[in-house]
Amino acid sequence: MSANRALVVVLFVFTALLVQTTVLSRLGFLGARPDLVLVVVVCLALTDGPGVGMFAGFGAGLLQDLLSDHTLGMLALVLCCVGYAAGIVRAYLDRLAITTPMLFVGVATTGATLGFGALLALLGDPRVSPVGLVRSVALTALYDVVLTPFVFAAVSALSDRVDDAKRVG
Amino acid sequence: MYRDSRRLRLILALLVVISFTLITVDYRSGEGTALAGLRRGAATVVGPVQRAVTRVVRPIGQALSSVGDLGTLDEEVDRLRKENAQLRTRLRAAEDLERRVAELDRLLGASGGRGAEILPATVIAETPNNFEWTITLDRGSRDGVRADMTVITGDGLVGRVLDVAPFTSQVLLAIDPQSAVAARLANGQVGLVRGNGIEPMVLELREPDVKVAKGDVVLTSDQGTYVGGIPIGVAETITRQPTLTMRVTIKPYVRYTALDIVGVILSAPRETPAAAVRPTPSASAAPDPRATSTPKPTPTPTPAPTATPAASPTG
Repeated sequence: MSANRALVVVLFVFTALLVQTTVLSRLGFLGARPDLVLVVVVCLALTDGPGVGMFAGFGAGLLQDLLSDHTLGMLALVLCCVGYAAGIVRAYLDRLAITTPMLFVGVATTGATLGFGALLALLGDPRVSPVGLVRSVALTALYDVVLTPFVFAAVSALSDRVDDAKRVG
Repeated sequence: MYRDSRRLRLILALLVVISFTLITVDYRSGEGTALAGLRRGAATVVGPVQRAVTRVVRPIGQALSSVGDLGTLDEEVDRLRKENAQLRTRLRAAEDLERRVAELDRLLGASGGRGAEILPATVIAETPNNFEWTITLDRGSRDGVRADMTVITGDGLVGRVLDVAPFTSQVLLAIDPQSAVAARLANGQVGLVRGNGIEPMVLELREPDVKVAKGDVVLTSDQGTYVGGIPIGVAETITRQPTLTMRVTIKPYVRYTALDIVGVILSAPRETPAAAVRPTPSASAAPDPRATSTPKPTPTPTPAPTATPAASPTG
């Protein structure tokens, strides 16, 4: 992984985090929000492999942890695992269909939300309830899947451009 | 590749351990520790950026949040729309009220000049078809309205009461072809004003050698059903009929298509009908159409003949 690519990944994660906290956090539709950061992490894992997915997930999760109210490290743990897993599974696929990222994001969102909810419940956080968890899993997964094509297009486009630049340079 | 994935797994394990450590430490310690400082640091760094971004994308954020609030927003829109409609209605009612107060003022002014008792009434309905010209008032026999009473506005004659119900009454407008109003000119010539629907009303004068000019005021005569002395309109075109009668079209003072508040004359004036002849009501409303076209007071011709005989014996 080049330094350029690392910068792109950091920018992606940071932008996603900003958009998530400033814009999408207001978009509480039917009591759930899309998770752009998670979508970006999964897309990065699909284009750049489990290593990048893992680091991006950990960084993004930790930053979200720091900016949130819950116990530090929970989202870092969850997103780190999600990024790694997405990258690993992607390695078994020859080529990506258009719907593949959506499927990945759908599964990843479900897993991440459930995992995060489980962690919260484990630490006795009163905000998590079974009904709320199911609803937020279903809705967040739906929103994330809808967001995926755009995010994936952006991530892979920038990935190609950086590779081209590397080839030329 | 194989070594690579092993390394990755190692790093993953490391990150997971770090995460769990963070969770444990943060969960145990609470506030005032190094981790809290870390949080504060992150907030210090990211906060300004977030604020800047928010400032830029606030319209987007609000648009999105309004999309998110679609359900409640609909209710809000509904509520505001209802309120708006209510306010608009109230405003219209207030405007209407102002206009009606003005009309009532003029009506009372008109009645004051004649000493008649006038019952204000509101037009609540008009004839729906094109062949009759009647209106329905919101006053009936309970209010003292009786058939054949004269109905006026501040401008002039409206018509007469046709039918009376307990709470409403029907008025035959002077422009209805059924309507025939005993009328006279200011100079005392009598005739009959017939309604003609949307065509102008016509004054038929029986005597052939009547001096009538355009702009002469036509009033009701007290010899008929109507209360005398109420202005109907001004003469417009004068044609001599082959039957030696004069046919005078009248431009009415009252706009019969825009009636709202009218007055029912409950009792005839206290004074003699002749005194009610004065065409101008005492309340001198500035935009009164009669003010310009008012002829000399009618009594003028009367003293002249009496003066001459009185003078001749002396001389």
